Amino acid sequence: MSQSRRFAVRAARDINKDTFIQEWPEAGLVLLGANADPRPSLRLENGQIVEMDGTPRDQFDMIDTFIARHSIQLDVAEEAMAMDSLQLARMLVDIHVPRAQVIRLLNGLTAAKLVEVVSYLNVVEMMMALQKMRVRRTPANQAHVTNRKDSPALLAADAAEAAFRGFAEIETTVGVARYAPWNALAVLVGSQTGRGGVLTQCAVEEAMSLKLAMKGLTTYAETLSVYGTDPAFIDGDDTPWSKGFLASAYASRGVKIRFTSGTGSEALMAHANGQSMLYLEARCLLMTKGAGSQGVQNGSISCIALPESLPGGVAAVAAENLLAAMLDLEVATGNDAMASHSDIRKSAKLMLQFLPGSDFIFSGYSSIPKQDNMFGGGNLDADDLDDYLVLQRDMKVDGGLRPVSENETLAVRRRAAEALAVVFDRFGFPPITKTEIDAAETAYASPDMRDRDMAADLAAAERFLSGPDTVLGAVQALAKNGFLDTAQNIFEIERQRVIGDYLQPSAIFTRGFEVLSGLNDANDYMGPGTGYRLSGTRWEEICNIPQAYDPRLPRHAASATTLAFEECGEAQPGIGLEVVIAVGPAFGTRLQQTVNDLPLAEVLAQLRAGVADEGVAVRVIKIYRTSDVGQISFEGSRLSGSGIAIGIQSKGTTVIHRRGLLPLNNLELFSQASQLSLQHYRSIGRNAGRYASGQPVEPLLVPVDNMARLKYIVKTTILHRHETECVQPVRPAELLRIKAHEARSL
Amino acid sequence: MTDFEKNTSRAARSQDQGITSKTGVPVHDLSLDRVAGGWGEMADFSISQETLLHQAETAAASGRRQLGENFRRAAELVDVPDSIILEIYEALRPYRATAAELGLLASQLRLQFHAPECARWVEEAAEVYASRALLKTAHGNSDR
Repeated sequence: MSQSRRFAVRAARDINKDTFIQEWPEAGLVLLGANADPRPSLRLENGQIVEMDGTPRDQFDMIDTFIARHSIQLDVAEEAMAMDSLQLARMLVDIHVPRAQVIRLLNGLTAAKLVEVVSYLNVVEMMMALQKMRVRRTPANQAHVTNRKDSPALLAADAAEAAFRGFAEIETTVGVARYAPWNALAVLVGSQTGRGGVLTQCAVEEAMSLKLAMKGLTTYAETLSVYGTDPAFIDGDDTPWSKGFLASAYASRGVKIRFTSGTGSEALMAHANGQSMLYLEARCLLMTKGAGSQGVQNGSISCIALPESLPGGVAAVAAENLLAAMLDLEVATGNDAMASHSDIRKSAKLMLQFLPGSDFIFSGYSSIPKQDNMFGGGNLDADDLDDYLVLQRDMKVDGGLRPVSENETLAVRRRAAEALAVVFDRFGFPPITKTEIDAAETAYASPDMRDRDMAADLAAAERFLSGPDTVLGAVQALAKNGFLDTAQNIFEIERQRVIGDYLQPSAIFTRGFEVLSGLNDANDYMGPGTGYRLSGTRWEEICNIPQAYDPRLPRHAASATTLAFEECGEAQPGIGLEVVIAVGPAFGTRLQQTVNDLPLAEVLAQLRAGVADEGVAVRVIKIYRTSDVGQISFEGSRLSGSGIAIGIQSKGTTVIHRRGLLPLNNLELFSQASQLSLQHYRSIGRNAGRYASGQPVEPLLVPVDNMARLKYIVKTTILHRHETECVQPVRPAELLRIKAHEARSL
Repeated sequence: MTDFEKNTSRAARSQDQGITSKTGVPVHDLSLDRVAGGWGEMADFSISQETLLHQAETAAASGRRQLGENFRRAAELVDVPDSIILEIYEALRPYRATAAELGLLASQLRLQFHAPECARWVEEAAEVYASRALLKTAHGNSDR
């Protein structure tokens, strides 16, 4: 068989490193509509559910039992279940139906009915629905901060930077489990140095996680995983009741929690019962609601590549995010684990959460390079931050982050590492050295950090966990050693645990430690002109990425040669064998460089030298009445003794013209100025000389670059605008005397 | 600076409602100066039963019945020591406890800690675990 070279190129592309499979419903490898998915049904007797989704009560499994007892709002269930699913689906996207009105009905639905409702929506409608149904009005984002060495100074610096960049929550975890109390402490101190009020957590085993919270080292937890079938749940070593108890335990210590679930986990554990991923996820979400969790992180999370291998996978993941919001749960919408090798595919998938906005668009944006991401994630990472900031600016979407300057970032990183060093000193931990602080300030990733004595560190971490020291010791040390801001912020975080307002749905803290939650920042979207709108200072902040420059100011390289010339009165028609070089009105005055950063003095010297190479005289004149290159060269040819003129704009666009041709016609046009080198200008000069003296001319070929328009259109527009501002419509052409500028030999 | 900072003028916060910590310290009296001077322990920064009950009412009033119920159970756990909380959690995991052991924990919650909702939660789990074979068998072997 013959082989296509194009197929070969595509086969090597990133997209073809991803895995794609056909559906296998019996193994749960299907997003929607497996044969074993039940039809929606609900029957009540004496205020109790006696049949749900086709299963009579005496055949309920563990999860059915939990859902029937805790999750479904019975006083609305019969009304809601009797409604047409299509009608409910339409209410989700109907801007005239308030969110609260839909939520009331959705509270009464079974898992199968919830799935039937979302299955009527296409992906755009899901985004519309998520925009309307998410709990908090203002979108936010969560960061992952980890590193492969569990380096405390780097954790603190990275947490500080993440907080400074605008992340509302920071999640860390451990390489070595016994580091947990240190990592939690480092991220707490770092985050509160970067921006007060950022919530932090350390994802470890449940009992350890609870201990960290009790010691005041974390403010939230989201590792309470639930699964959609009994055997998967039990393999996860929990039950809905154990997870529900844990939820209450965290709340009793003033700690915010959210559950975790996601499509694909049951199939991965070979316990999908032949049911579809979305149906099982609906069961998870109903359990989450029934246990009294304020929210959930879902969107397949660590299983993401599994639904993405199947038809409709990305849409179904958007549907599961939406299902969470439909149940009035805060939703942190995944985008954390590696979802694809293809940047195109990753970006496209992200849009489904990024554009509508969610409570946390990522349930962990890897704010550190992916090599240091200990969650096995990093779908977008530190290297992609500028891309993400540009996407916010492009789409006018609040993705929860803000542009920052390098200087400020370095300062905040250093201060965080220094603050943690003070805390380490206080607790008698092996010290964080000045060298480590220096390294943490500027590090790319953990290989930039020194190897610490792990045995000594782990012993100290374990003593800290079992000993009497708490976060209050850290507050004292910081306050006494000149880190008042950090001390104040950590103190305030601890004080907020007493108040507990941040236990309410979708809570985050603002910079001023005000709670923003589903209570005081409830999503009030009801169509255009309502809900969260990006405007005012926040929009300005997003616009002002550091790369954006003021186009009003011409940008000269500091060392640019300036053109030295004198104006010698109105240019007169010439006689004899000469070429006129007609330059644009800003040439050598307001503008000194071509679009390609060639100094105009050099460009002009080469053009003149080129003409002279052919033994032809040159006059240089400046055109004031127009900035158009055709008109400039046309004017030049009128005044040229030979009738041949070179017209050149300040941005470098050049034309060779002959008297008698129409203004927009020419002998040779060099429109892609970005492609022209000094050598080319020399040749243009020579060709003009040969036209003037009647010798045969081989037109100059300039390479074409398809990227040139992308790279130079902005600069071209700005330079041409500057040139046009210098136009004086009634001023005649001026003869220029160029002060000596030797053409460099090329 | 950001919209969410401006929006806070709309906040219906609890700050000014006479909240005290678990140890009875008014939230206004918690200050950095005092902590920097060596005052306080974690209990002084722990949420009280009353505050959690208030949060439960707030949740229920906003249509979030189950969240409210969770906060009510949490209120009951405020005075339950960390070690016992971890013990109950462990017992509620699959195959960890016999029906009798769960019954004992439920009684302890009800009688010693005046935590009737949590006791009911444990009893309900025990009942379901019995019917789904998730209990530790009497001779101590798990079914796994």
